[in-house]
Amino acid sequence: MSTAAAVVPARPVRRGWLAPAGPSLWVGMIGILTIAVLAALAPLIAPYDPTALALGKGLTPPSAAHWFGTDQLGRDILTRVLYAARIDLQIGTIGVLIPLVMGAVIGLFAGYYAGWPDALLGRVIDVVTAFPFLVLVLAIVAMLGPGLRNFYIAISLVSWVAYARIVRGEALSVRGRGYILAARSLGFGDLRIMFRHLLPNVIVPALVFGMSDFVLDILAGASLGFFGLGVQPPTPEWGVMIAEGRNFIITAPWVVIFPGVAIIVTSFFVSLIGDNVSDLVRRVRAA
Amino acid sequence: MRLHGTVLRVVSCVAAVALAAPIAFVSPRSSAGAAAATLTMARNADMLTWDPYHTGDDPSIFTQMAVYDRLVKLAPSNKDVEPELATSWTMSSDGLTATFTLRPGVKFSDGSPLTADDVVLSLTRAIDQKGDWGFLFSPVKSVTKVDDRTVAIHMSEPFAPLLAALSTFAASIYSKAQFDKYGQDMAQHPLGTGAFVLDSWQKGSTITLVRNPAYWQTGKPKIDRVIMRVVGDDNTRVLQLQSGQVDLIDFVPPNQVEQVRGAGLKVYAVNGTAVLRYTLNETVKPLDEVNVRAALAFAVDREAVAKNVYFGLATVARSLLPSTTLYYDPNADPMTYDLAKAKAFLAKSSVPGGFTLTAQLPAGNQTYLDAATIWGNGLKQIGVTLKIDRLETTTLIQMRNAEHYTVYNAAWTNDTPDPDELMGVAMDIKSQHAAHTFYNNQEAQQLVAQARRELDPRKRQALYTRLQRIESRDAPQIYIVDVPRLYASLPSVAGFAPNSQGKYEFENVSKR
Amino acid sequence: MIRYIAGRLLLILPVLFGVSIVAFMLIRLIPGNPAVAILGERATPELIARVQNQLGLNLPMWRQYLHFLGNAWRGEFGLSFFYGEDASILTLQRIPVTLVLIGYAALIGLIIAVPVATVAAVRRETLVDHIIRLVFTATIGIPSFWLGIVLALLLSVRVRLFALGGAGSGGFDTLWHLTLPALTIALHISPILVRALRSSLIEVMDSEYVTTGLAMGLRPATLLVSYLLRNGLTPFISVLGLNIGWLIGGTIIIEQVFGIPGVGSLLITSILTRDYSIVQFVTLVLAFLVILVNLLTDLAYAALDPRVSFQR
Repeated sequence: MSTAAAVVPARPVRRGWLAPAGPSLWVGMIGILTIAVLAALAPLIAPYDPTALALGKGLTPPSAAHWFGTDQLGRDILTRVLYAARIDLQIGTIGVLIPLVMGAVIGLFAGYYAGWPDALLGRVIDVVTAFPFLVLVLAIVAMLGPGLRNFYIAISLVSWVAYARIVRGEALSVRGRGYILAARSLGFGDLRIMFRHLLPNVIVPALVFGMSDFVLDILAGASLGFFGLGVQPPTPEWGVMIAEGRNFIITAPWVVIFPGVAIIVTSFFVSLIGDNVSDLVRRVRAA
Repeated sequence: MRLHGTVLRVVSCVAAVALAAPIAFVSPRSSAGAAAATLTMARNADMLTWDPYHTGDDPSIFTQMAVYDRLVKLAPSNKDVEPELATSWTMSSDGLTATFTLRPGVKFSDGSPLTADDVVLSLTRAIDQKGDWGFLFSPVKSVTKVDDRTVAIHMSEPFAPLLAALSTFAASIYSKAQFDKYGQDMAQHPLGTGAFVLDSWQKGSTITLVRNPAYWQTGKPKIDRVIMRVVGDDNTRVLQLQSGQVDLIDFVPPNQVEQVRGAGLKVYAVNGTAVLRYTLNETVKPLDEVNVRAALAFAVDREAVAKNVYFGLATVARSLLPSTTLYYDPNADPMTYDLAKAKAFLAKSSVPGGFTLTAQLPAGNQTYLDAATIWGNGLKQIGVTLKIDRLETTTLIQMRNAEHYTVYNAAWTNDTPDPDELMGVAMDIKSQHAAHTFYNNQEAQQLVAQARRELDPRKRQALYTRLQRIESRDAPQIYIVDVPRLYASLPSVAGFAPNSQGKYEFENVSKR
Repeated sequence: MIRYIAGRLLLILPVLFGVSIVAFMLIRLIPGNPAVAILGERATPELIARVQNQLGLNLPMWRQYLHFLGNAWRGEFGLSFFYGEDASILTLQRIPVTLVLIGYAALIGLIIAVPVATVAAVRRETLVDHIIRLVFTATIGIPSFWLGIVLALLLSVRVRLFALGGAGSGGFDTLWHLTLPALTIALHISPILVRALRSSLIEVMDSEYVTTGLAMGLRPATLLVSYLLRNGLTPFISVLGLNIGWLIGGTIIIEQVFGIPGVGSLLITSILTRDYSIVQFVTLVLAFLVILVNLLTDLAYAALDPRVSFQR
């Protein structure tokens, strides 16, 4: 029978479920930065115009002239993937930032004051989460009309709830801690306590969730594209490229493979960052 | 014993068993038994109703035609009609009364005999001008019973499209007793004389039809059962066919046709029954100017649309009428792709420098989007910027009906081969504001009314040629390509030949 | 405990009420109405007006809602405009398929996640662990409909292993037809499951009572069942429960792709055709389902971890 020594791993592992920061954080950050730079430089480095049709060269497989091949109207896929990066990074960022801010503020208030604001928020959360996310977003987009701006509106209206729930939960458990009570007894105003003392300590799980939400927002864009209600032409967007190219999966798979790989790679890097966010916050604060 | 060793061992055993379990469910595919020949079809949408009076969707139309018969049916040439429930007919000398003799010995699927009363009821409802399809029979005033085997149709003026109209699903003959019993609910309970009978219907999912034991054509149908499944996703339908799980599918995506043929499957392309077109709203400036509309019309690269969007399965349209329509004329000065002409037209208009044009398209339709993108490409070269607005389908239809659209994109499918249906709607401001275009041309309206009354085929041809020439010149609607209806089946399916009305004609289908 | 459950169940009412109001308003705010959807391309203003009247759509919204409430109280949820059948019957007929699909997907998800997460946890920080985490992190970004089509191509066409499309005719046939869709959904949610289970297993493995137990001579198998899994599953179950909404959402697209006659595809179709009665009833049913799962999750949490009390 083995002793405990066989079970304890050679290196001490920190408690908690976030893996220690190491190469993965840097890989994630460098990866995202690279994608962001490529996206920003798209007009300079893309070989073709993303909306230029080449009607005689529809659906050509990857070749020297077109590294990622062309779609059914002869548009260069590499170019479109590059231009789409700008939209998708934007979708991930704005789609997380707005609900994060909205939800965090609301959750903070509810968690701090507890009582009826918290009960009310609880019911609102229950009602919104009772609907499948996609259905609500779809309905709102159908109501407002498809397009990037309405997509943001729809996502914000639905996503803030998740952040509010997280922040409120953390706030509820932290509000009774010593330093909060101390700040109160010192006579600090509620707002000051909330934003300077409570917020930094409760925001981390929300940020971690934000990382996975980043990916979810891009995938939501793809799902809306499945119904034709995604980002509107001529703006290329990875999710819509996949959704609208799905009829070509069998006959011209490159039309959907490259945007798909783009999404996978981006979400991979973002997830790596998410895994290490708490570490990141600590490093930033120490600096 | 090492902890992780045991853990791994236990867990992997469980996993292995669990993952292998589904494979045990694989059962050999049962071949179509000799006992009951079943045809399984995967369609992209479900039907909604069995009552022709209230029907608006294609799946309902096509399926109703399998369960009901009509007085006449379209001949394979698409230019004429043949007897179906009526064996012969005569027209009075003034052209105002048509008398039909009914086929003897025809029974409904419940065994009750077909009588003139059933025909009178069905057609009286069909010609009701308040009904969805009354407009197909506008000058028909009444349908009366002459005797048990004879029916007379009375019109207020000579009506050339009559026979074609009687071949449409709208003139389906159903049981009067059934209607008396169910009333509006007949939409759920059909009783007809057709080759098949409704067996079961799971809404939105599956329809099962079984052969009509009392069917009047002996030796038909050759299959015993038809199962129609709803599979909305294009890819899934094709994959189901390729894996042999269904026998027949509709709406094959054009880009997959070659691949499907290559896999040894049969592809059926029914051409010339539908035309893709852009409807222009003349209340939105500058679309009220004929020079602007003509410029837009000549900027569509129709060849490119046929090749890049429909993969060669569509043909360039040379008239607003689909090519199988009676009196179709491809040589009536059709619109073509001519940027020089387009520029010249625009130069004569009030916006020679170009303008921004918005087109409303249905979301989710990739082919329409691609075709419009090609159009936009051509427009760019004459200085017009095309902005594409994709809207959810129901919203879009609402907009069009409220006439808030600028350019509307849809395909027109003939329900009858007679050009009166389409020309009547497109060229007559009294008819839905000329298909919501507000096109107001007195000459055209007179020609439409005249052609409807004209019983001499040669004179009718001349009239419709003039109408097509006017339409191409004034461009209230811009036609693009003739859109094919694409079906595919397993090689074992024989005799499937859908006609221009979309009728499946399953009574002729057999499985080898 | 009973008081807790009763209290939670009472809270369901205001939530359902809120859900019904939101659904009622949302679907009516989308432009277009059932009349247009039913009549389709051939709709004319006169026809639309007539159908609208028939369907009672010309009354003010608050009156329509009161009608709805009154009928709902009696258990009548209206007729589907599109199908002409009772909305509640149509929905309830389709619920079993969706439940089976979700359950099947959750099961396959567990079957994938448990061994993989266990291996990763036990062999943490080694190459195996890194590869596992890499692969599953990459999987997060794959759109589910893409995955579904690829699986269908590979496992139903190239190799005729599973049936494609529809839900079969009951029993094993249904399971055979639902395997591909369930597998797609399971793969779609597996990254989250693996990550959560792995981390909670690691946390448990590090805890003192485990090392103590081993030092005291506990057999690893007992350890595994009585302690590791039981305690590791707790936070994992709450993750599963919290994501039930996402699970349902994933089911919706998959039902569309595979043509499964479930509640998800019914809901989407009804939104697109403005079939108000069905949308209202289905959202109520789904809401009830989500609330129930949340409650069960909390109860299971408590059952597994005696430290959790019901005091708020």
